[in-house]
Amino acid sequence: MNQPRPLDVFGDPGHPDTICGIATPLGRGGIGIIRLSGPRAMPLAEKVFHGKHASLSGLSHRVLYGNFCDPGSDIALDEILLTPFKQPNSYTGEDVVEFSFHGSPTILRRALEILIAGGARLAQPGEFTFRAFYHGRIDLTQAEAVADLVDAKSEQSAQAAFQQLQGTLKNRIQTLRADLIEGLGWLEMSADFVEEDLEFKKVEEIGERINSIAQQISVLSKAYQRSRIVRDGLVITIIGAPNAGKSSLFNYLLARERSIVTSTPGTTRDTIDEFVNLGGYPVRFVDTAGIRKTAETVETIGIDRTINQLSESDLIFWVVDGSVGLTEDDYETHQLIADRPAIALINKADIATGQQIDHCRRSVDLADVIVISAATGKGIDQLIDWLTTNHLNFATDRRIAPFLINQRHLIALEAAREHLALADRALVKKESYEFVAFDLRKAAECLGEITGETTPDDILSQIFANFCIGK
Amino acid sequence: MSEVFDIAVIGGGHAGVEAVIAASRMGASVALVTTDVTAIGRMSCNPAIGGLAKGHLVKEIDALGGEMGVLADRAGIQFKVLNKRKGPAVWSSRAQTDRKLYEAYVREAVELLPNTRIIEDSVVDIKVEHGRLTRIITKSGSVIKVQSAILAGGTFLNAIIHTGSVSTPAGRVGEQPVIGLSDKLAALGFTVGRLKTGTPPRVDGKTIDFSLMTVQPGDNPPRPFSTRSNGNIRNQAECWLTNTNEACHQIIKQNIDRSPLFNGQIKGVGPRYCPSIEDKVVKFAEKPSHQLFLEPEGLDTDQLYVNGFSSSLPEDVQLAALRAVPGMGDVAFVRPGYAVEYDYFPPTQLKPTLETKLIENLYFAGQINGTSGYEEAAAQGLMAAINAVNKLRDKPAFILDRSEAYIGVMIDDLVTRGVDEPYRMFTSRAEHRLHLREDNADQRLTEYGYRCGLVPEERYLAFGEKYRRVTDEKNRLGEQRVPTISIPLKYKSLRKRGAVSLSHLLRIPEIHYQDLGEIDHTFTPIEGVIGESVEIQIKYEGYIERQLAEIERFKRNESIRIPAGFIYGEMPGLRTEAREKFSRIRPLNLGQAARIPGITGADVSLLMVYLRASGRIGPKSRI
Ligand SMILES: Nc1nc2c(ncn2[C@@H]2O[C@H](COP(=O)(O)OP(=O)(O)O)[C@@H](O)[C@H]2O)c(=O)[nH]1
Ligand SMILES: [Mg+2]
Repeated sequence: MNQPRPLDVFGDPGHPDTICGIATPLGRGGIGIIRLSGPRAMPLAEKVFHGKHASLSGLSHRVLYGNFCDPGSDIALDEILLTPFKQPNSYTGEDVVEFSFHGSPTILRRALEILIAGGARLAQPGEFTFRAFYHGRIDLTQAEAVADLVDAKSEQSAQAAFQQLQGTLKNRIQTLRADLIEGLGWLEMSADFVEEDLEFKKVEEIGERINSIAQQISVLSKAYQRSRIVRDGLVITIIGAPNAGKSSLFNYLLARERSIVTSTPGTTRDTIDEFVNLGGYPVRFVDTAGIRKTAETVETIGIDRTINQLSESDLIFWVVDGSVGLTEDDYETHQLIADRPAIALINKADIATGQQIDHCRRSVDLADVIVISAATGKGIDQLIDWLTTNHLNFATDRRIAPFLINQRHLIALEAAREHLALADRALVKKESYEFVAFDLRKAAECLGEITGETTPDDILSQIFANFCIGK
Repeated sequence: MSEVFDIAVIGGGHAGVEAVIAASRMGASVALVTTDVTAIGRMSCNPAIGGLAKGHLVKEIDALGGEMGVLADRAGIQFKVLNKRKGPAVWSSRAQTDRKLYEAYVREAVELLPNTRIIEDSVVDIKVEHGRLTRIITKSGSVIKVQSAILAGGTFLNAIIHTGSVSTPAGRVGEQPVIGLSDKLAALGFTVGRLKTGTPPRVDGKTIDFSLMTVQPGDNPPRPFSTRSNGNIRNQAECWLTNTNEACHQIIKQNIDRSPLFNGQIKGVGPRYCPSIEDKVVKFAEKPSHQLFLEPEGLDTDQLYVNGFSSSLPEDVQLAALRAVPGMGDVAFVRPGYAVEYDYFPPTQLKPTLETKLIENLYFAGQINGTSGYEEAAAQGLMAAINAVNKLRDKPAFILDRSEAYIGVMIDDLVTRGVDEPYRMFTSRAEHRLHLREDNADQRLTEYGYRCGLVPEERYLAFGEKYRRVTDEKNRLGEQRVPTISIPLKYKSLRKRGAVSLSHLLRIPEIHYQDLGEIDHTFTPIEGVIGESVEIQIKYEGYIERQLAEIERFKRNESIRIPAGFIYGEMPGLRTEAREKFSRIRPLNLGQAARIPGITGADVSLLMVYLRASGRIGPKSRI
């Protein structure tokens, strides 16, 4: 997670600046949107926009056609569509103008410069959403969902974030919290009405309630793993001996799955990685230099880096050269991947003999083995099938809630579950009810933190730290 | 009367009495205006002080230097700690008191006060200049100049008593209500509401067959409320338990249309937790029986109070129904039960000091704030008086927060959430309950009482000494070790070999502090409260520490103060409802703002962001 910024970077929202930023970079069809928000948005837009209407008043929510001009030189920069949104019915709750450009990133940058020269200021990351929140247009979970949408690397991700924007995660948590508070009520009755001869709910009934809530919470927690994958991608690291065919496999996979989402250059010389979209989920393949022993020393080069990379991976592809068999380096690798999710890929099936492959298969000693050829593409379909079935199969798993659970949610959920476990233990140990109630109350508070029922300041900062400019 | 009083206390009930005593002890000149001097400190309902969560309040009043605990100990005739089978946080002291003695001791305490005038009259109006209270006006026509006033009118404002179809204007049976004052206050802008409460019949003990009932003895040894009453209390009376039955319920059901609660005669809202017998029979129709406790009214009387049978049914129905109950076949009434309806002022009109937001130097305390119970009233009287005197002396407001005392919980609930039924204290209202125990009430509050000038030096020193001894004893238990072989086999849960410390042993649920001498013959336990404090602190250390950590967290939001006079109209995104509520309640800090009903997390986040972004709280403020 990013380092939280203090909220004061946004300036005094009581006396807001007019801010501008690129809302969407040039995308498909070559349209890029610039958003302008604040008290001076309308007059500023009127200065730079040359269209049928000289004034934008009375034209809220209408799409207008015209030219974006530099008021200094009166030269038209681009043909644009302009949509004014009169406050409070806009994304931020302030006056907002959105400009849709056809032109290149250079034109967008130039347009921003013109707006800034006209008195606007470049928005901070998250500042538009912050203003939306500030003006009561969205609540915190929704603000978070916007952050998730911004980062969405795939359709699945966008969908889940959208659902959350609609408030379903909030509803789900609120229901759990209400159930919990009802259970708490049963306990409280017994503490406060000893004089009365009320019939109290039996201990087992309360225990059942606690366990049922804990179970539902763990369903939500499980969604974290999936959420992390839809947001950040499933990380697959390809390791193996030099010349086993790692890079060839990497290239083959990228070429086959043409829908590359984004591309991040490797941070070290040793690794390079690329995103691929598999069935709506982003998958990040990391190609490594592999593990090898140098001639001079027994010491292994890059082993620390590789171990680091492995611990950040969700899955390991261990590529073995089927035509050569296991090398000494491969035994090193085998040690490293023990206890981590991994599959062995016996490569170069096109040139290896059946006997060699069988021998290889026996010696890799892994449950999952697929024979492939990075040269011919043999076995790659099988590999993709295996991958989607075993690691990206969320849709059919009903135990996983369709929400985007971020780290903040996960921490709160896990804390709630811990308190429930403590409460249950106290109940089993027949501790007095006020002790059980103590932890149930805490659990309810943790759930409240997710929905913003109780919102410590640090949570706010966390949420707004996760934005990029223009949102 | 040309004299000026620092403080007028209006009403001589339990709130008024604590207010008068505290104000006078703090050196203020006080006028106590009450309709009937002989009724000062009267117990209108049951002859008992304390009870669940109420015992906590009494202990807190005592620690702050209030009088209720001492009075209850003196007048007490049976003492009992409730909930003893549960954890120490919910142990609550309760005492049966002799009604007449209690009144007499209260009267004596008030009459002995310096700088205090008791005026038998009733206040019918107040004078306000530039938003400040300046005078009170009585029925007899006196205009009394005051610096400030504490209104503690109990259930007397526009009060009506109902027994069956008979309704009589009265504050208590045979006592005149106060008519007119609440209309005057309404004219000044106060909102007035209506509540209802009830009381059961008093019966003649000579007509009861106790052999058909179960005796309920007091604790042996009895334990006092006050640290000032050590050794001077004793059990001198018994309570009796019996049960209602189908026959009794049948009679009530047949006559339900004659209950003013059910035929629409009573409009005020009654307490759900203390329902009338007709309510119980109708709402819990499936229950074949309800408990009734017969409580002695005093030592020199046979009168008994039938706890659990509060009713506003006509006298003949009450009597017939009660005669169906075992042991009460021939019961005779001293007085039937009745319901009383009265005016109250929704307490969200108050600041956390109990001063009204509308009129400076006017304070409200007790049942007129919508609470029920002597203890709740007394605690408010005490707090109102401390604040009234502090204000006259330009001293800071005295506000206890929710982590410090039940008193803090109660006042915060009242001024932040308001009431929709008579407010009774419960332990579940206190989210920091594991810390707010009776045993540490003195530890939590004596310091404050001392600084207010209510706890005298000598008692303050004794308190310091007590906690030094507790600490020493805890250290001793940590250091003193016993070989495990000498530990009796019955403490099976002990697995360790070698030697263990006494505090280790004390963590075993079945081992109590007083047993330690049995296990380690070189160890002599200290008798009394010190040993008990030591045991609680060691045995429940884990939970207590976690509770204290929670309190730390709680204090973070409490410490984000909202400037006085903050204008919510300036906040753009605030929902209209939130804006209205914030402006009306005027929370002191972010924590209180979050507790206002109907305020959402988003509203609070917004407020926090606004306070922060507009520089009203600096980035350095500890959040
Ligand atoms: N015949 C054949 N050659 C392959 C295959 N995969 C990789 N190679 C060749 O093996 C050599 C090493 O491949 P490379 O991908 O660079 O291996 P890396 O060092 O593991 O990254 C290259 O000459 C590739 O052309 C395969 O499946 N079949
Ligand atoms: Mg390579």
